[in-house]
Amino acid sequence: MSQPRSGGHQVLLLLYALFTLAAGARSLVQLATKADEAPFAYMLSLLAALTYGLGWYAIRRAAEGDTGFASRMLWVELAGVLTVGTLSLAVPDWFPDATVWSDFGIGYGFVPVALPVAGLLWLRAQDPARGDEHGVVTAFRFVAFAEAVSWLGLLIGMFFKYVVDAGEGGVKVFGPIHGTVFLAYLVITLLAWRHLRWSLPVAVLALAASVPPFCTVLFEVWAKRTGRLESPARREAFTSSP
Amino acid sequence: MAVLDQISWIVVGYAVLVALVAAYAAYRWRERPPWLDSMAWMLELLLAVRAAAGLGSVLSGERPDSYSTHVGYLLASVCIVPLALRSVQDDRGAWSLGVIAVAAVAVAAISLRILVTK
Repeated sequence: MSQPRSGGHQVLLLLYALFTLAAGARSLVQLATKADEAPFAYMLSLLAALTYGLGWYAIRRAAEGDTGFASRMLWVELAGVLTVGTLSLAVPDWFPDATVWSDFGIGYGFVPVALPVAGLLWLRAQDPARGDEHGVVTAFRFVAFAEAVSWLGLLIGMFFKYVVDAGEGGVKVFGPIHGTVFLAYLVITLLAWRHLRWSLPVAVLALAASVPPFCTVLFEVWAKRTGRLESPARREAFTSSP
Repeated sequence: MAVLDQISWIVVGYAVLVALVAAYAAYRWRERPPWLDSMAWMLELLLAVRAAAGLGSVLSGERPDSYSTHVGYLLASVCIVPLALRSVQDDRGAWSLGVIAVAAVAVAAISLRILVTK
């Protein structure tokens, strides 16, 4: 298969190149100047840089038609971000200094956790056998639900912190988790907007639903009921029938 | 250092402007207009001025708090826009606008980091 000249892989490739550079330079400087402060964290950052380099190569291969390596590499990357992110919250003693993936990449605006998700969605759309709307709809419904669940966790954490005054452990754990899911929701909403051909007001409504608690689920129910989670072709057939 | 800070803030503002223009054109699903490339090269010019001035002040004996990080950011800041423009040089499709937007956001973030690490 020949390489598609234009497509989402161009944006992904630049992001992977930037993160290879950022994580690589950061970890090498830290290892060279203050390795004894937090050697485990700095080695993990170097490992993240290596993962981004391999991810860049995997997406290049996938854009040329060979998706095999990317379909494994992107899952490895996602597992890495989630593992390091969870460990950094659960066992803070292991991390005297932050890694690239600490708190699910909070230092980089949560892009580290959104990147493999975007890559996997792009990869799904590359598969000609699968209607790409289907994957986006499934991902959207899942993330809309997860967003509401993470809100619930955050609200419970806030209840214990401010009302019961029982420490901020819950907020510390659910804050970054909610931030991550929030960003994933925004990314997948933008993809759904394009794939499902929503109008601008619908897309703005979907994005705004991420701000108040539990509104993503309300939006998802409404979109399902009004046929806005159907593929555009089927929706046209539906509305034009007498 | 005050003048250098001002250049960095101008870079941040202008980079955000470039990102917004590129994102809007991508939203309209347009081809990449030639003047957007010119805007990106203007951004690169500003970055080059900032990097040259910053490296000059470091070479003349100024020691920033995080020396190697600061110099690293100065060097990285000038590489990103040419890299992005080169990767889409013979493609004017709408996705190439996304590449420009991401590069502009990255450059804005680096300029903010340059301000913090000086």
